[in-house]
Amino acid sequence: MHTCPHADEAIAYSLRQMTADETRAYETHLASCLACRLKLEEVTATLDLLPLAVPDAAPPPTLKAKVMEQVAAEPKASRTAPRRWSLPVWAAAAVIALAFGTYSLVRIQVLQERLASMERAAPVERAVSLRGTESAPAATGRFVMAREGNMTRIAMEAEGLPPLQSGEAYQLWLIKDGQRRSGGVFVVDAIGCGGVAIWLPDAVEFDALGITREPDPLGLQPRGPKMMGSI
Amino acid sequence: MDDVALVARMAAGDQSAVGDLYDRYGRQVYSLAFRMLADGAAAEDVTQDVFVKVWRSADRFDAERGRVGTWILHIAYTTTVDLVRTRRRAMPSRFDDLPDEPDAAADPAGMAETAIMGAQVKSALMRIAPEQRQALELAYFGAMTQQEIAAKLGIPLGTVKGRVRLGLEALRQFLMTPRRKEADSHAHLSPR
Repeated sequence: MHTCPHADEAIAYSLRQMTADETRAYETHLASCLACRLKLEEVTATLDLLPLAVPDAAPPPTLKAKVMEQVAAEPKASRTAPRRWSLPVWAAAAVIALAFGTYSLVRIQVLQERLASMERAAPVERAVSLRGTESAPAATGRFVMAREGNMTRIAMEAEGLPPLQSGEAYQLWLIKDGQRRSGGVFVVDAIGCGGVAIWLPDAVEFDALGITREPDPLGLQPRGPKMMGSI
Repeated sequence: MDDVALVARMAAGDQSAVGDLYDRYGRQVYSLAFRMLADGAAAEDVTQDVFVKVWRSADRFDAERGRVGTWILHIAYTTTVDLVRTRRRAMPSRFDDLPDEPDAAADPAGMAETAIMGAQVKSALMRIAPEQRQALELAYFGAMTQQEIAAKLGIPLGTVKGRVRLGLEALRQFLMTPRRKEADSHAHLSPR
């Protein structure tokens, strides 16, 4: 069982099998889904061991000089920002000392343990049905919320939503006293299925839920039409 | 000097650190590219490209996210995948299958740790169900998309996804539980 319905997408992403649109949607989802960031780290750590299984092939002795010549011709690039979902898993000195293959195995184990602890699901505190507005009359969905300590896990799955144009996204909103808070963005597959599953760092409260169709996945307030709402 | 210190030297603009990292990882980078491309000249081009990228992005390396060797080989992998795909678009028939595995050469002294780990990864790969290993290898070393694998094997897309996922899960499981003999030799690894 996976904590997030997008968990397996980590494989296609790591293998660079996604289209540009799929990659963008997945990276947007990663920014808000801890479970998927952990899963991606775990998949990548496993795949990154495969080069070690390759038969040894000796490069020509002249190759090093060619490399150094190329590097000498390259201006040093200016500082760039690290990936925003960069995820330190630990910083233990004992682990840092390990050779890289062994390090990867320990890292995979730590990631698996963290994923397993997330998958020991907290009891569902609230379950809500969603239905489509007249913009998406065929859409149906379900939302669940669970708390673990000070964290809140929310998960929503919908089907029957209209297909999106490139760059667009659906966005879930948690509405409390008229204020809207984003509950994550998602895209849908060919049959209109999609969903979010994220952890929020506080105790979430809401009176109602809404899903809008947004021009991009970056909004802090709804800009597009409402497509679904809580019943 | 350890790898992380070499990366810090690169980030500070010291080009000689690239040469030191090439001495440690150049052979593995070349071997991976050669495995995926079966073309020595192209593998040389990839290797040059990889170390230029390593030089350019030294200040992005994050020691908490992995080893320097993993980082360099990851760059080698993505660079090679991109080249395989570009070449496949230009010459589809030449890349419609995985290149044959070249004969393994003797590992030079100083690569013992990598060789032991490599043997463990190879062994784990061989323990995966053959159809799952095939799908995983076509996806990883063959740089094929799920659709390309489905067309090549004449199986549904969902089956390809399932085989790659199960193959990867099995690989992880076998890596974490090596057979006894490998576990013993692995235990003799000394930390760097």
